Amino acid sequence: MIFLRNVLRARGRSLMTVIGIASGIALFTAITAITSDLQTQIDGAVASYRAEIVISERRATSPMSSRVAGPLMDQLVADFGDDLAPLLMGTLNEPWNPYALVIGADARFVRRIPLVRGVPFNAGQPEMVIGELGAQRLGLAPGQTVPVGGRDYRVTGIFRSGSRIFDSALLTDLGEARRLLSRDGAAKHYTLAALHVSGGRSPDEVMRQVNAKYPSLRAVPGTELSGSLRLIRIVRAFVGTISVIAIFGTCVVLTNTMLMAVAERTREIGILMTVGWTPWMVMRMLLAESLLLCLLGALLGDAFAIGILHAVNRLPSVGFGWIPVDLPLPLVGVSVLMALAVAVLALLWPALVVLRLQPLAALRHE
Amino acid sequence: MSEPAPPMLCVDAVSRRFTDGDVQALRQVSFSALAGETIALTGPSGCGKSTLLSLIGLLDRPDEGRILVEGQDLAGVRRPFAFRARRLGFVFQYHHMVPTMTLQENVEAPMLALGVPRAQRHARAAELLQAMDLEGRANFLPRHVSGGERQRAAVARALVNRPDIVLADEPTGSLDSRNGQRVVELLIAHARAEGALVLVASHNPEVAASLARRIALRDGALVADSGRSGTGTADHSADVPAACRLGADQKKPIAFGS
Repeated sequence: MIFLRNVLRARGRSLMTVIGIASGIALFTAITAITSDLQTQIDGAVASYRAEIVISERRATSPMSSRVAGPLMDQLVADFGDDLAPLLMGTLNEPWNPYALVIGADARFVRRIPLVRGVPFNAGQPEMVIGELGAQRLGLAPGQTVPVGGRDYRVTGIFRSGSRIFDSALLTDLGEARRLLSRDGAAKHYTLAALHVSGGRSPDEVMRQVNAKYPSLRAVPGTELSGSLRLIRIVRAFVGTISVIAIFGTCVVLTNTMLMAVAERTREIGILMTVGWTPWMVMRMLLAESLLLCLLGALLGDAFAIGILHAVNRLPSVGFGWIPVDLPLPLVGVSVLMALAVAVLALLWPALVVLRLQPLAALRHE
Repeated sequence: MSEPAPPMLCVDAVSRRFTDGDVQALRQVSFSALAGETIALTGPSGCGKSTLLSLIGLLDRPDEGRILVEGQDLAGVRRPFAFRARRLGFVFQYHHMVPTMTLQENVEAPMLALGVPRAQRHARAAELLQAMDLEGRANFLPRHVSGGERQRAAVARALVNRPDIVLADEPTGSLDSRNGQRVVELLIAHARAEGALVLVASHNPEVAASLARRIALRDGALVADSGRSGTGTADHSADVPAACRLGADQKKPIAFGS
């Protein structure tokens, strides 16, 4: 356990190094967890609604900003009948949630969603079903009311989709959603349509038909919806940039620590080289120290990340529900691997110093 | 008539100049030594004792001349680290222990360099620590033991790979007289038992007197050699093979103390 003693001999410096590494890892892990979870939630929701295909406006930068004109949606409904569910989606700034997600759907679609309590809403009535997570946060049960858009809506049921984003949403009749989300004077429109492919047809073939028949629309597989979201693409690029900065930052911190270790222990290294240790043996010792610091940094960083997620999840300004509070195990693995890669990268410069060290000069080092 | 024993070490007309400070540290130094000999390198500070040990220890290279160990020219050694670990043992003035290694681990360090299995390393280190009366201190860090104990551990480390040559640079310099004497006695006794050639650089007359042969240096030149018998003269030409021929100016007998 020589490497452990070497790490502990400069406790303060080792602690600061571990915290530095942990900060970089926490930044990477927390942001990656949010992004990947967002994708998982969207894909999970699409899957739970059995929407093999999602149809949106072709020129829209993302499906959420899509506007499909009413007559066009009527044509789609005529083509696909009950398999097609026109949806109107948007967010409202409510006192209890600044990003309250409201989804308008027709009765056929609502029947596909599993209710854990209560019954579906009645069309044309000020009624809603609410996601399980939202109901928990607001302490709502079927029969109670929730204020939305200046009007009290009666909660008739509570649904569970398995997606935190949608499980904090409000689901109501298309007409009510239009009243809540549409601007005055705006023509009747929808956000997108969820299409269930039935009758043994190939989803790819159906997509080709839709894209050919409706040039202003874009049909994509439901599983690719999250990937086509502009927000997700931006966040992915952001995460990539942050990851590079985090790796670079932790490398700088660790390189500095290991260079200081080599400088302080030059005479010891000289002793070891004099008794026969090769520079590679010295490097192995330093690598063990570097790996230990990085491993501790990764574990502490993951703990920091969980703390950050919990804290952000509770921030009212972020809106409730969609921030994950757990780290998926593969992400923990990636963070540890990233830290171990940093441990090796950070030793490149110290390795050069050790390789150039002459035992006699090292022995005489003051 | 039996063949003379081949020398373990031949130092042949070795010179070393340090450009930094323009110092001629060694001038045409030549001598040879047999396995099992104990030699004191004496002389005032700056006379070249440590430089000579560094050259023999492959920590530095001579500008002129050559050094042979059992006939092998050190200039041709391709793996100096392995050579040092296998054939040389070092004892320094200030113990030079690695502070985060226990005495046992410090003693084992040269064996690690040779890839000796753990069980063998433990056994050999324990054996030497016991011989140095340090068995109760094996798991102590150097800062928790006395200077004398540290230096005895350093002797154990120097002997652990059963080296052919042990190089000790002022091994008693940081110790009091009693501890210093004990360290030298242990070094000589165990090096003899292992059949190693011992070269001790010291300006302490008591240490020099306790060794069988004394070589004196002054201003980088060999000025006296007591010879193997310790009688005061030496002529190595007769028992040095041609492959290890010495410099011409060192072939004549030199009176020790002259």
